[in-house]
Amino acid sequence: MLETPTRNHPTVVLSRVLAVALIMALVSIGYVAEGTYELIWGSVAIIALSSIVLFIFWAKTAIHATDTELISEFNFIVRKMKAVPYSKIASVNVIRTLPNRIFGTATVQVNINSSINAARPEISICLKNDLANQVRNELSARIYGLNYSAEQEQVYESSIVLTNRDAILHGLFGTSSWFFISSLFFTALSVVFIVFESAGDMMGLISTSLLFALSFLIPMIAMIIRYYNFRVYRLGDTIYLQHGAIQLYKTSFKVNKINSVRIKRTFFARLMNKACLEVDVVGINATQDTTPVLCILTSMDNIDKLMRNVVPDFIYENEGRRQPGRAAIPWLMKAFWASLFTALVYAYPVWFLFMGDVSSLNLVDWVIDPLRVIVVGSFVFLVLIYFGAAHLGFNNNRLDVGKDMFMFETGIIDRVRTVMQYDRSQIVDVVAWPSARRLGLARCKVSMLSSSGHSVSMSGYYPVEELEVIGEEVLDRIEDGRYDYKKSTF
Amino acid sequence: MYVSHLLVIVALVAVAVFSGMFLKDVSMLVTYIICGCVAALSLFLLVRPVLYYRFYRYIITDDRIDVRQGVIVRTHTVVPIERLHQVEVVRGPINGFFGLANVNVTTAGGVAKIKFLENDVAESIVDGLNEVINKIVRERNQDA
Repeated sequence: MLETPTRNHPTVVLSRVLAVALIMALVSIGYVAEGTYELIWGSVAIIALSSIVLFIFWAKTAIHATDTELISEFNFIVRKMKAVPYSKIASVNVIRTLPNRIFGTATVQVNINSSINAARPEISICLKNDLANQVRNELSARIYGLNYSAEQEQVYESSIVLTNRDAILHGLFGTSSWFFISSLFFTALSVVFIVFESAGDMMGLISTSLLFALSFLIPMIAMIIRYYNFRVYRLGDTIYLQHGAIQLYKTSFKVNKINSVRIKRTFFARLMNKACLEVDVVGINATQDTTPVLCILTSMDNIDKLMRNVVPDFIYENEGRRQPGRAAIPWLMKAFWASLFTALVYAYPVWFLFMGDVSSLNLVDWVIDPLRVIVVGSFVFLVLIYFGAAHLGFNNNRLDVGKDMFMFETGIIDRVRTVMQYDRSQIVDVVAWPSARRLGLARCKVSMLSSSGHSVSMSGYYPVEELEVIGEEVLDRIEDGRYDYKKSTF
Repeated sequence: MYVSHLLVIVALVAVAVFSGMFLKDVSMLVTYIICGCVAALSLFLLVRPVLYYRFYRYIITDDRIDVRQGVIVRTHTVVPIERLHQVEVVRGPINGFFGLANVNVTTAGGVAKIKFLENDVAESIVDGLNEVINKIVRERNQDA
């Protein structure tokens, strides 16, 4: 496997040239429409130039493996060599995009424990599909000490049974409720426009249909396609994830690379008594999975079963404490300030509609009164939302400080329960706004290394001395040796 | 801090003057609101450095960097020294002119800053922290 320097599969050049050609063809349609045919030669020149550049990059880049490290070399005018020791590899992924499927190839991506390079893989190589799987398995054998073939891999059953119906539900209700509601709003707007406004107006129909597709349909379908055929299982200390209908995504990472586990319950998921499970894993390619989904939307029983089978170390039994009664005041103050700001924004329009020269708007008389109702009604609606959010924010937050881990449960409409390890906390901030400070309350912000660089979790309002326990516990564990840097991921 | 805030105040006053010029014919009320906001913000920016200095505290011990700061929102930051990846001295043009510097400490989970230090103090902090980090690395290498 990669004992000798190996280039990417030549179809990489072909697929990239085709992508450039497609973009230039779309640009050239404009030239044709304008009748400036001579500019098409510019597009042809750009395609030719990019073909040469891509070919040189392909010909001069090679990857090979030694006993201890994976080496990527580029040697044209400048010489660049990147060596990744196997001990530093955090995850090995195999990705099959649509061009990969067409050409019978797959891309192996190797990621390391780094926040700087979190957004893209450290080393990436496109190979014939069977060779790519072989490379991944041999790398996995070196890193995790497990050896199995792609055929054996198919035999391992997912830790819980997840159907494609779950993937569809996840596509619909797995995203934040705000996103879902705003998408529905735009969809309704599009429908209203199509029905009432765009009769005979083709451009209007196209633009509203595009709005509907971009805000709702495409993200939803993309999500369903992405998590189709979802499988998750654990072998030894390694977790394997596999999903995707068109683009196949396979990844594996060690359990000790997980920094925190999040049980996410969106509003609609809660109505169905479902949840999804996300994990912050160091060194997973963030372009593919900003926050890896360990389990798509499924029943709470399934979530419990999966946690017992796959991440038992992160099972957190305590329900956590609610915020103290006096924490209602900072939440109400937030709602008050938001209302005051909104009132300032609304002051002029309201004054103008009721006291100003409305005739200057050149509106039909019967429109004025409904307009006044809409403006005042929207203000009242926003104020009600602020105070409703304050009420939910006060009721929904939970905090628990355990022996090895601590837990924040947050959320207004969607609820997120984050279980974190003290040993993975990097920076602990205790933040107090004036309204909370006077009551001896604050919020705790914990920064951790994550797949997308770093992640931050914020608690509700609790007494300052209770929150400072978290930072002190982190330091105590370092001091008394409970924190073992050898088990750390960084 | 005074200088950077003064620059912001100049920009705010310019915005107020221009908006006043354009909006006086549309609505005097809006002009008054904008001027009022600019005046309040400018006053706050003038007072902020004094308050910021009054509330700003930092301490570096054997095991932690502890920073307390903030005028309206008070923050208490704890960074275990064991988590440090990188330490650097940063001098912007205004800070550099007054012989000041910031110390940025980078961990795997983000950056914490100790701000507005005299150059030699910033350098000595960085030297001290580097020494501690090197000591930790040496000990770990011996363990290995």
